[in-house]
Amino acid sequence: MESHITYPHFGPLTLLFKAILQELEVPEERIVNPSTPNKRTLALGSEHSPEWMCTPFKLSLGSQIECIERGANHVFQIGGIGTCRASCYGPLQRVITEDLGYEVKFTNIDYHLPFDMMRDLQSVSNNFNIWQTLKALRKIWVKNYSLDLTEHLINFYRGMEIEKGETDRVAKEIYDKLFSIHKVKEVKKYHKQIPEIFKEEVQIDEEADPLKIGIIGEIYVVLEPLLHLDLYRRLNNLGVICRNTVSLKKFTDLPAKLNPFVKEYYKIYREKARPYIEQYCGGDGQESVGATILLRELGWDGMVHIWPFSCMPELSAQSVIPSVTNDIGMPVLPLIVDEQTGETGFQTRLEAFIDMLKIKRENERNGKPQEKISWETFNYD
Amino acid sequence: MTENCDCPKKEGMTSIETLSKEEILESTQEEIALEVSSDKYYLGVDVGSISTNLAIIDSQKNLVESVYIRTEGRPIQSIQQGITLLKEIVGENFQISGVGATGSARQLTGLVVGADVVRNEITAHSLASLNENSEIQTIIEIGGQDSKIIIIRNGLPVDFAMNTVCAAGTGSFLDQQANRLEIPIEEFGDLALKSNNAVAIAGRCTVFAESDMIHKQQLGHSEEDIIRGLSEALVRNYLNNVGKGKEITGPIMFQGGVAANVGIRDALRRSLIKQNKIKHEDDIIVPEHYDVMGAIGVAILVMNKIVKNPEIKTKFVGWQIPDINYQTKGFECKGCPNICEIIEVLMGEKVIARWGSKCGKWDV
Repeated sequence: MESHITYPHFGPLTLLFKAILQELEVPEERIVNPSTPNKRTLALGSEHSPEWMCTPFKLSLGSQIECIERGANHVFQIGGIGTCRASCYGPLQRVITEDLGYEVKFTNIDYHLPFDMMRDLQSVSNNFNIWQTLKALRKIWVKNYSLDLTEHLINFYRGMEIEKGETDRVAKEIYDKLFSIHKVKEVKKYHKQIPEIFKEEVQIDEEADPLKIGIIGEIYVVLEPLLHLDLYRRLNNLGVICRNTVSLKKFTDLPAKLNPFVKEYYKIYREKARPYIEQYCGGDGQESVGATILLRELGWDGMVHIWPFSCMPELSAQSVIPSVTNDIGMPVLPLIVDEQTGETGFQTRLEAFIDMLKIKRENERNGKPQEKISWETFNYD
Repeated sequence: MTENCDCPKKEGMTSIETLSKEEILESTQEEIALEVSSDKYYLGVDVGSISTNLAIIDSQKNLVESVYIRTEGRPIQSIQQGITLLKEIVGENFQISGVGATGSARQLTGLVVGADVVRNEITAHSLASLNENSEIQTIIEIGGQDSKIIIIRNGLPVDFAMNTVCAAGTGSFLDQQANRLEIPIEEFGDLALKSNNAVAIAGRCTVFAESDMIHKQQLGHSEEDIIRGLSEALVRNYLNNVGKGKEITGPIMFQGGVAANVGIRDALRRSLIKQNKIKHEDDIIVPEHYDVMGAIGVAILVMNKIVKNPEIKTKFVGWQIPDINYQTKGFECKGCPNICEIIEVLMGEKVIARWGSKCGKWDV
């Protein structure tokens, strides 16, 4: 039977999955693109999930069922042997879809096992040999850099734009362009231009004195707008510039994995977290703590910590974060999301948090003038 | 993030405000001498999940009149009722120079009363508390759906936390149990004080608490003991959930609707003394107007704004608010996969606002 492949909706990095399948030359007609999830997707997922499972599982299951109904019979997603419940997403979803009467193949790639990952990518591809797969992976990681960069740029420029909606328009053009180029050299060349394009096309308020807020937490919730209730846009609308500290580069950044002189981004965070959490505690727990410390050192104003109800790694992080806050003076706002759509409490907390950060910053500055804010000083990659 | 939404992109959400530069400077500086004009009065309206509070202050930040009523899930009606009650006290010709709205229904309230400032309740509360007593180090606030802690150092808020997942450890937890025991919530506190022997009751979840209570009732424990046990459970939940890891020191300002409950006040006091967080009983201060602090806070914010910019004319709709027919309607937008729930507010026949859309397509 011909396989019709689908992939998870993953916030802005949905495009990465799309890029992976494109580079592996899976024919267009054999790809089932997931539609933007909504409340009904979540309800559909919850209906067929164990009650105690975390929200990302429910949402991805809902999205899968929608795609299966549209003809997909092969799910390509991330998973594997990680040390949180994400590792049982694939197997559990396979059993559930089986019970529902579908025959679906699951391919779960895992960054802990680079060789298995290569094999999995090869099995998804259009009869590639290992060399072709490697070449495709090269294009993928290069595009991953550009996607991450664009996302960070959006959350920087949107917080200060004068004409509302300008940043989103520019971003859309960039995403479209990124998908139309296939040569690694050209992608790399375009990558260098991306910050310039934003600078030229988006008019920002030169007088703006935005707060800098980092977003830490469970990767799926940090990235998927339905689950984080449009957190980035909310912050941007409140005149704050923000960035997330998670990325799927963990999976794709092969050069950093192989090069002994380059430290992968998440390893930097983990090292910072070591005085508080010594060992890898699954998911992004350790990274959340590490990023808080790193961003304080870089002079950021605060953090928003967001995770799905009952997420074990982030709960571990949450339990040490108050002592981190005490030691280094970095306020962290914890937000737990589940199936609720009540946004008032969410908005109230954000507004109050920002009010508090503004007062705190003014007090710390003690009359000193504001620093000039620019993309170069904001970006720490 | 570009969602595949074909709606025209406009400003994402409707008017939201945080502190402006001037307000920050003000809160970080010593008290600025304000020009005293005794004939100006400012109204603050705080519509929360459980209660609706209105407060009028004069230009010395003194409370002139206040009204505290229950929201009962009908915010617009309760605002109208509140305004009616105020009108009866101060008279129809009373001049209001500025109006502020706060509380979880602040957006709607802002529209109905015509607010000059719409601000979140946490900021409003800390402002009101600091105005009442500038020495305080901690604000503990337990309201209907929210409970929060604000840590103040040198007169500035430095950290805060709020309840995260559910309404355990808040007023509605007590409300639920009072309902179950068929005791008016007002008598709850006094009953707790009569007991000398608290019964252990689970504080994490109302459902667990309820089964505990049923069990303890059937064993034959007295009502007073169970109520005291409940009060202690709520305080325990608050301190371990909201107050977790926070440096709680005195003087502490205890406010919000639950501060009215003497049983909870007592339990909080004993618990904090036991944990060595405070030394004396007087370290917990319940402000005189604990129930309308949010309204006072937002009235102060309006006053600051208007005193600075005397040219601003208030948007206050007027004392005829109770006579205006306000309506709200909800529908789902089918324009894109987001399926936003849109709320439409009508004043008479006229649509005065819509919100709820992610893309801003429906904003008026």
